Amino acid sequence: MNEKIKKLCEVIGKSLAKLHKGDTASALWPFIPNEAEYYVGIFFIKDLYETIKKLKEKNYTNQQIAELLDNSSKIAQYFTLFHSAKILKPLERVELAMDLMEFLSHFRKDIFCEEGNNILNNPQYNIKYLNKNSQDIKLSNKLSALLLLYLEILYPTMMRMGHEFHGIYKEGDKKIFVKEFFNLNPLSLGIKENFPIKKIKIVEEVDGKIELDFFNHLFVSPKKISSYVEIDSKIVCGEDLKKNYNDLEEKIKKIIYKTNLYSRKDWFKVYAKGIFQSMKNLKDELNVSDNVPSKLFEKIENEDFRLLIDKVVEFTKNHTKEQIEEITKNSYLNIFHE
Amino acid sequence: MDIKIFEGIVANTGKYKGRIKLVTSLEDMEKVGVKDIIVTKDNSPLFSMAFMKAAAIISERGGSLCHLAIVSRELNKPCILSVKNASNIFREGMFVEIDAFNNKITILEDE
Repeated sequence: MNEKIKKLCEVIGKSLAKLHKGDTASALWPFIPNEAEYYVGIFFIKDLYETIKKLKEKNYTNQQIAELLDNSSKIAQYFTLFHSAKILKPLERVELAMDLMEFLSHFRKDIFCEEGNNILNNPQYNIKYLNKNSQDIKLSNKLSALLLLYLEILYPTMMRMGHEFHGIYKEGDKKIFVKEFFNLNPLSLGIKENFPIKKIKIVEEVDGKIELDFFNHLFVSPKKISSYVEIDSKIVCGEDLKKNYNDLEEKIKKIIYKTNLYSRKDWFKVYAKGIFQSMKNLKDELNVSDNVPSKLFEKIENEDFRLLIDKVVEFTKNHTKEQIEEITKNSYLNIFHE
Repeated sequence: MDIKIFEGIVANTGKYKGRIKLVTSLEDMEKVGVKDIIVTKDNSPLFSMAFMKAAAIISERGGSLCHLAIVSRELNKPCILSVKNASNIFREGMFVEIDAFNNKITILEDE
């Protein structure tokens, strides 16, 4: 087997084992990713493969396709649906995995983030804007927390469709960590409300280490020394930052209330819309719709699939981290063995 | 009153004394104040505004690496997760101490 694929399976095994041992499964909302994959996986993976293939037939380079995909953590997250790649022929599975890794390398220096950092090839920040104002630091932390919660609603269990953390970059004796938030429009919720902001960037000078994995899960948060916030390319601080935060909180609160009556099936549809939207730029190049296939919605409506969360939690408790790592790694290797 | 102490998984350290607010629906978010300790059965992000507002967080589910744990660290609020049966043990208005340095939640006044 291809060494890069083997490495990929090892890295995924390590990352997911750590996550499970952190007792994440019991807290996942509104379903666990395996349940979402049951409905969405094969439709999405097949479409992703065919879309990339069509772009290549039109002579798009890997670099061009990567740029259309926008960011690396989104690409890495596609691998969480990769058990559904069994819908493809064995060679196509390898081809898709290799393509996605190639796209990742367009953004990341180490695509696997093995050192616990996510170093981008072309990070954009300017340390001259860093400030130590404690109120601004507190507000930037609140902003980050609010956006993480909001993204969990827009992209349930797939939050990396809307954010990427990267760093640590060394600037002299300073350590820089960057949090970027994007795709904030509530399109996946089916709410036609224009979100006032496209991108938010929080740049932090930190003390201590961070720990990010392949999927961009942040396992260890460092202490902040100074920070700055950039909203749609404009540096925002002091009273302006406070006003922006308050407006954003109000806007998000309104959006949340509109989801009050969403059923479990509605949330699967939100998930499906979110992940299909992530291919929008690719689809636009081909002049095709990025809508979710109607058969997928029919599947959500007509089939009931549930994994008992208590059994998942029990499995996690009864196995060591090493055992879970091995089981996960092997399940990924099996995708490519057939 | 017998002193009752409960534990779970610490998501973020800190120590705080306050009154319990149970959050089980979106409407419950409105009653949460900045001095309250919220208790939730699950970690739904739909309760965002309560997480953002409260002084400390207790939940029946989750662990040190779940999303709510990351959020509690961003907010630097004491947070203990996976507290068994928390939404039945802690009642609205109870005065409790959450000591997330030592993974202890103590009921100080049972109203």
